[in-house]
Amino acid sequence: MPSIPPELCTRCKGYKRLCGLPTCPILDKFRWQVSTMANFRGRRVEGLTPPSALVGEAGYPQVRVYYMIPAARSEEEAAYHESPQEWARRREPLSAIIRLRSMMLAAGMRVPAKDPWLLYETEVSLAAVSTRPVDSEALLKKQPIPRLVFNGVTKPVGPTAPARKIIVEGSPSIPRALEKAISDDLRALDAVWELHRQGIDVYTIQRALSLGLIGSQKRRKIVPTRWAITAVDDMVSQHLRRELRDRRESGEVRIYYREYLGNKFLVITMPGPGRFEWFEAWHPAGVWTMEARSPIYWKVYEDPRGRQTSSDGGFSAARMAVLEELAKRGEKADVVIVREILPSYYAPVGNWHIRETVKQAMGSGPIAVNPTLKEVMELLKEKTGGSASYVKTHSLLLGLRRRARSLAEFFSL
Amino acid sequence: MSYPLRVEFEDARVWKHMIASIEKVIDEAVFLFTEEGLKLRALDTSHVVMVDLYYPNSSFTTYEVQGEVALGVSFDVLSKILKRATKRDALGIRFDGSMIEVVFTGRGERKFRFPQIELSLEKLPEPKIEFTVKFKMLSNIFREAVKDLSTVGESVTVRAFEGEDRVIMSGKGDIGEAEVDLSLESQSLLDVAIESPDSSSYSLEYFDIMLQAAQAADVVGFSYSADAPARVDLEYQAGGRLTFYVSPRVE
Repeated sequence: MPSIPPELCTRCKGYKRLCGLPTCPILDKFRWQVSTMANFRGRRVEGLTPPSALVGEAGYPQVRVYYMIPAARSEEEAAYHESPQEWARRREPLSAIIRLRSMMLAAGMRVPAKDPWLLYETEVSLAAVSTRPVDSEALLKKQPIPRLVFNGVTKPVGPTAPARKIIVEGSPSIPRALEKAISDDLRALDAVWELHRQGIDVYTIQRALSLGLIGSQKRRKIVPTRWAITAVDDMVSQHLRRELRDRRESGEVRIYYREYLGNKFLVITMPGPGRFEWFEAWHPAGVWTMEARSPIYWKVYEDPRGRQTSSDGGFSAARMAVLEELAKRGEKADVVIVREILPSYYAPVGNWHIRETVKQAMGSGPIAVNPTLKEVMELLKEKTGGSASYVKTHSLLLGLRRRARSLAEFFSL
Repeated sequence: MSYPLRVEFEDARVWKHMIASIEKVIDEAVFLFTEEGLKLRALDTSHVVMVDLYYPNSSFTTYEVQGEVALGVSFDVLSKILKRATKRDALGIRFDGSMIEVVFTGRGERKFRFPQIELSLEKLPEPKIEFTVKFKMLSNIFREAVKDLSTVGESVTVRAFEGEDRVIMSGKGDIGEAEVDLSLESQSLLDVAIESPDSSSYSLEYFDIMLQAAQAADVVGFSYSADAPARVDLEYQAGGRLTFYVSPRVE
């Protein structure tokens, strides 16, 4: 394998092609190491889609839409193949998630991105946003290739085959709010927010945006899943920030913590106008850091108006979870999020676990309230180990570095 | 139609650059048009930077104001519109009582209308600070200095040398250090007055914010004293001035 600096790999996650190679050598190697559990035989596959669908960005504006059908017998079983919230709640290990994903057939079709109506007419996109599994049938052009494909942002994709036709047999059950959004002519930004406000779960909204079901009627497009995921996080966050703008500042420092899938998250909220700092520390010997000798760090800063130093899907997911909690409290706050990635996160299964774990961290209440700076440092060391010193020297918000004084000290404001 | 406010300015791009800088620290503020001229004073939310804008009526080619007009403006919106300004565009600002109209006159006329926002006029005091060091330079010298220091540093320390007519701006950060030496002798300074050889440190990020506004300025004045706010005056053609007060870093 060519020697690629692991700093690049942690940023790229097999997606941005920062190393210049046409495909990611890490992912290429990885996909063969996993043997798929289910062998789909024959060219006709019938089953219940959980629902699950994915849009790949390769070849854009021609995109490939994958419609997933698991080898499952009951509705409940089928639904579990696409249940990030449930997986996180039950703390499913990586191996279980990989197994669940590898048991789904991905029937692929090539569709022009500007033509979401093709998917709508055949009800493929409607089935993909159903609240219950939908009876479906895929007529394949070829035998499925028994493999599992990973990428950094979306969930792994199981055995794939090009489809001649996908037939939605059952009738999708669409929540009323979503039905309204589909027929409305709202901008995507507003439609996403409306759906979120009405309690439609974020994964359904992602699929709705991705399959071109929402947005201004004339401008609807099929959006690659990776883009849609971060777009939804950012759109919801933008609205949450707006709601918080005129709220009071939090009067307390609170620390939250949660760990799942070899990913540790420490969230610190403190008085401030709504700035965010995101720190990532990738330990050596992880998926992207096989070659690294010391941890690889990454930082994103976002100002109270949502302008970032760099766009980062993981940060967007975590930030939304934190803003939701702040919106519930009705307080704005400055926030520092530290993510530490251990080598036990051996397969990238998508950024849903970031969203869910941070949500759980916030939901389970603070592990410390109004700690002293020294106690903050101790917690950082205890919970996230190695990254504490990096955070200490690089955080502007934590007050561990020199900061600017207020002008109020020099004249009356 | 008669407007309570109708002003015209020769070069729209000056405004484009100024507002682009202000937009980075302030969300919204009130433009106060009086008989004398235009004033705006606003603080950023973290109270580290204060912006003070003054344009005398003589710097406008047309200046018609009925009494005093206070316009509440979202800088996000205004900046977006002003970004459309091109070379040779003149800028007109009109207010009909509810809508603000921005007009670019160059090749043809382009008009943008947007509502003013309801804001109360904050009366911020003029900061009274005794500055012990004052110096002036061409705006490109200032811009290059800030860019040099930003490549390595996050903070800038300014030191003055009595009797030498010389100041050194140095930057320090995680990756290294940088130093910019300015003096009358090297003609990098236009003017310098040093009462005592003081030094003071500031966060560079606030100076980065000024870069775009400085692009359209002629001369930049810099004043500070030991561990006190710095005052940066960007001086524009026809007597306009945009001032930033930046509070010092905690030692």
